[in-house]
Amino acid sequence: MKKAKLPLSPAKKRQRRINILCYFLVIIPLVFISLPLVTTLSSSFKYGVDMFVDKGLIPKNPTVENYQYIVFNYDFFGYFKNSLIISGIATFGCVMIGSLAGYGISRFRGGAFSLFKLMTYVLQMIPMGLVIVPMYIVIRSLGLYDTQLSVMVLYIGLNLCLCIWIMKGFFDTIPYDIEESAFMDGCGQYRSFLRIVMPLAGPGIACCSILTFMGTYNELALASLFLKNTAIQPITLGMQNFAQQFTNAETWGYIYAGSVLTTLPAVLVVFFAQKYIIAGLSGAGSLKG
Amino acid sequence: MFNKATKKKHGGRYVQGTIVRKSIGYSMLTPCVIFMIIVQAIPFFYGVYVSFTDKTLFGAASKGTPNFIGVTNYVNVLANTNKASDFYQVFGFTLVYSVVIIVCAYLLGLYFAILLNRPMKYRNLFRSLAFLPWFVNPMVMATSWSQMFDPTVDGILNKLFMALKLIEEPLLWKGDSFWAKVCIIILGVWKAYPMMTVMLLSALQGIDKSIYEPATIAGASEIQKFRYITFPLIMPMSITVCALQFIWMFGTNSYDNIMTVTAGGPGRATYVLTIEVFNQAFKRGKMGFAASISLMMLLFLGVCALLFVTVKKISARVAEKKEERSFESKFLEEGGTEA
Repeated sequence: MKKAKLPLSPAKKRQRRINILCYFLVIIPLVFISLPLVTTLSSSFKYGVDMFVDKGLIPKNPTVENYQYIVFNYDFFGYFKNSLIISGIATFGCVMIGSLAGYGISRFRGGAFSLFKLMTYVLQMIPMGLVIVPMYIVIRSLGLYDTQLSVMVLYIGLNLCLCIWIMKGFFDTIPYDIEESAFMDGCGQYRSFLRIVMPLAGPGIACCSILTFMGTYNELALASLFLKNTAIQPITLGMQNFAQQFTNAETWGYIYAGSVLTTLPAVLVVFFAQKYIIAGLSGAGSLKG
Repeated sequence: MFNKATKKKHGGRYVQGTIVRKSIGYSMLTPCVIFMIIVQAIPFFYGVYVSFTDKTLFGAASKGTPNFIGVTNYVNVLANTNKASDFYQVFGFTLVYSVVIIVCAYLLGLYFAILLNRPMKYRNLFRSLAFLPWFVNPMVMATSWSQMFDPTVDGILNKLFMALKLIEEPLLWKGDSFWAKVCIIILGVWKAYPMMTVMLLSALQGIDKSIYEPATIAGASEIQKFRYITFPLIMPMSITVCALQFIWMFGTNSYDNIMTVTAGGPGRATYVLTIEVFNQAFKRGKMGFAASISLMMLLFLGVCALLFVTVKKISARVAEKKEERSFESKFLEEGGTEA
């Protein structure tokens, strides 16, 4: 990274001007896009009573009282733990089952496998509204109503298709020759899948896990329908409860603090794993063609 | 089962034959198929059945087997007998809502994808910021945007628009039936564009840089390069991602996005079909009626999907034809006429 002090050639000058223009073109819309989240962050450090007086971005007398209240008086981490359990188990199940099926349609050919592939596309089209009414009846008759298991099963089923597409795209790029030598030594297809192919598809697994986890973490409709007991509700419903409970001005700060804490995992995921998301989706060859 | 001598075609590559036992393949799909049957197939067929009955959620009719009433539910929906809930108006708004969001989100997504594909400092930071709305909880989205859409003079958007002299007095936003629609469309775009950006970015990264060389040598501008080389190459991905987003937005996502912000209000101004189905099924308890609305949505989405597939096939054929001629000659031909 040596910086030459020679005068820049006109072409380079032009290039530099384009680069600076690009920075502006990126930053200005991004400011508008992240403005609501930034104002939420700043409001979470204001006292509820100040909220309507102090409209500035930087709080005049900052406080962490909102966070204290949310964490100690309102069982925030209880909701958060529920979210982690539900989304964690759903993600694990979805990625395992989805990648197994993705491996299946990537490595085998035949009528049943193409039919299955077609089904994954058709199932994506079924509107939630149509299946949610019967799902309600099915879940009630299975005795799963108001249990975390109900939403876990539904989340796994609903997120499978995306996992299959992404994982199939990844498995297609892994050459078959690698597995072949293992087969010669008497390794079974399942062992080869777990020991050889899965470790190679790491970015795909990361992408699938992130998308499924965040999708289920942010889900509202199914959770609000099936989880009525506040002890087992995930954070989305916890937030809804906050919003319904705290309607007067003094408590708005609590809602903003809760919002910030709820968004924190998403922010961490995006900042540390965005390259996996792009890599994973560019591997999703079956989505392109 | 050891057919080592044969060659089997495999995903476009020819591989030496190996232990090809289809039963293993079937067993791999089994867990997935079980989940799909429980979660989607059974509810789907049950939903079709319910749509032909007078099943209700509560009251006397909820006990025992519901009566089979043929296509009465469908007739009721189409004839619009229920004056309190105008089906055509809700359907029309859902369609407008989805299409406007898809178009805006695609344009915004493409804008960010092109800019963030360039090498620049802090690119990962910008990318992360651009992807963030995708992962924001719908409840958080509603609370954080409520400050932007504050109906008083102090609301951020009101303040901004008044400073720019665009409006005389503060807009009511969620209180006004027109501006409430604008509100939820802005929020929908905000939530939907990051996925477009990610998909288009991954498509752009898949393009081999060397194919731009002939055009660069011939002196093509950036806009011409985009128009004649980049855009046709990302066309298949664009169609796929727009189709997917449209189907998700129309059929599923609109519920979370609107319910948390306006809950369909003011009045019924921001009602969409997903909310209508929930309302009919779980507030009024008319399961059969709700199921028939959903089935019509599915029918509509099926027609749309067929349309998308056709468009995609045509565009693939066009792209193939274009590829037959080299990029260079094509550029010179078309660029020449422009100059």
